Amino acid sequence: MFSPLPPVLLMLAAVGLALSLATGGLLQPDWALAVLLAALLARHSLWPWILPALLVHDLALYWTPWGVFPLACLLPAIVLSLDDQIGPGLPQRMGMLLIVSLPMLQYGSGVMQWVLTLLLCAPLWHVLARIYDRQYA
Amino acid sequence: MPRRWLGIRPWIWLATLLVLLVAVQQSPLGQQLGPRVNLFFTPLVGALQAPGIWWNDISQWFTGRVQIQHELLDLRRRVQQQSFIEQERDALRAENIQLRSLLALPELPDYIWHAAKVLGRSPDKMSQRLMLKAQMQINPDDAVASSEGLVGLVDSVSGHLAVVRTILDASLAVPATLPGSGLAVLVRGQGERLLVDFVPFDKAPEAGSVLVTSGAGGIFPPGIPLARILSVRAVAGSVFADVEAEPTAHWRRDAWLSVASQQQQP
Repeated sequence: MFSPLPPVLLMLAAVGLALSLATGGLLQPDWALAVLLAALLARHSLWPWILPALLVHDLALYWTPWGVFPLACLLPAIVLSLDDQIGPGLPQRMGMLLIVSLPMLQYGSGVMQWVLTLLLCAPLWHVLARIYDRQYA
Repeated sequence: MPRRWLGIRPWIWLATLLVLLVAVQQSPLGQQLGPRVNLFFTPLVGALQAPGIWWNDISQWFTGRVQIQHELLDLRRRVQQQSFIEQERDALRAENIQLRSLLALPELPDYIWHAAKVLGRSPDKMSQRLMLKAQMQINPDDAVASSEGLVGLVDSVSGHLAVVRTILDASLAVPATLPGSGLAVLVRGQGERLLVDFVPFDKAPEAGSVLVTSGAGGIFPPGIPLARILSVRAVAGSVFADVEAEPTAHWRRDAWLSVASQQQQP
């Protein structure tokens, strides 16, 4: 069944990326990263859409593929593996969200920007998870 | 049975990905990917800024007539002053060429300065990379400066759009000197600070001194303020001091910057 949500999410991420570049001097969350990580956490099967977009995000903002992308590649596999071992739950997802977004600090973003990104990501993740749950119910 | 993704074991996927990332990072094409992606996003960045520009244009309609007249008179006065300065500069340039020919010194490349609008900045704290839009053609390796000092170097160009590496970028090193001294140093970026290399400890400038571009190498025009010295520390067993500096330019708040294009020799 075709869902229009992944293309819409990619468009939102592209607009977020442009917004980050257009207003680079201001304190703001990493809009694109928040949208993409929220989508990946809400539905792991979206990885073929999300991971290339994260690579573009890293290249546009950090000029290197070694930003968030390599850790995000591990996220679906690690979360699934932890779900198998300790049962599905939020803690492993929250932990992975923190770890995957950490490279932001390495590439010059401040702690406030990192916190804002997490604060944006969490509600987005909640909303997307609800939308997907409704679709599959 | 072990887990498989699209019929292939996960570790093969990850190893392939790792090799691809290393190849991308190391290849010359890969190193240009970042600036190219930035250039690709410039139309969208411009579109996002458009409402702000429209708002600015509309608000100008409501600005007081008297204020605009004052601004016009002020601008006319400045243009007149500028034309005097340009005449003086042309006379000095002619004299410089004459003296250089007498001393048999090579010609310094001439630069054409033109303004460029800052379209976007990288979102890191110090905005290490900028996106510019100019009316004239910009070329790679053109120097970019603000009224306070050197900002960086043009990295990639697409039409009238350009991506600039600022002097805080670790890949950039600028030859510099202290005015009135024979000091020849190299200033390179380190994220949020500048490091000044090859400063002999006994000749180290004091904290607060301003280094200017020396023009060595022919890429950066000479005499542009570059870095303000923050600290000078002796390093045990080394003749060179550990010198930290900050850029004199504050490009995070500048909406317009100057680009110095080298004049093409006929």
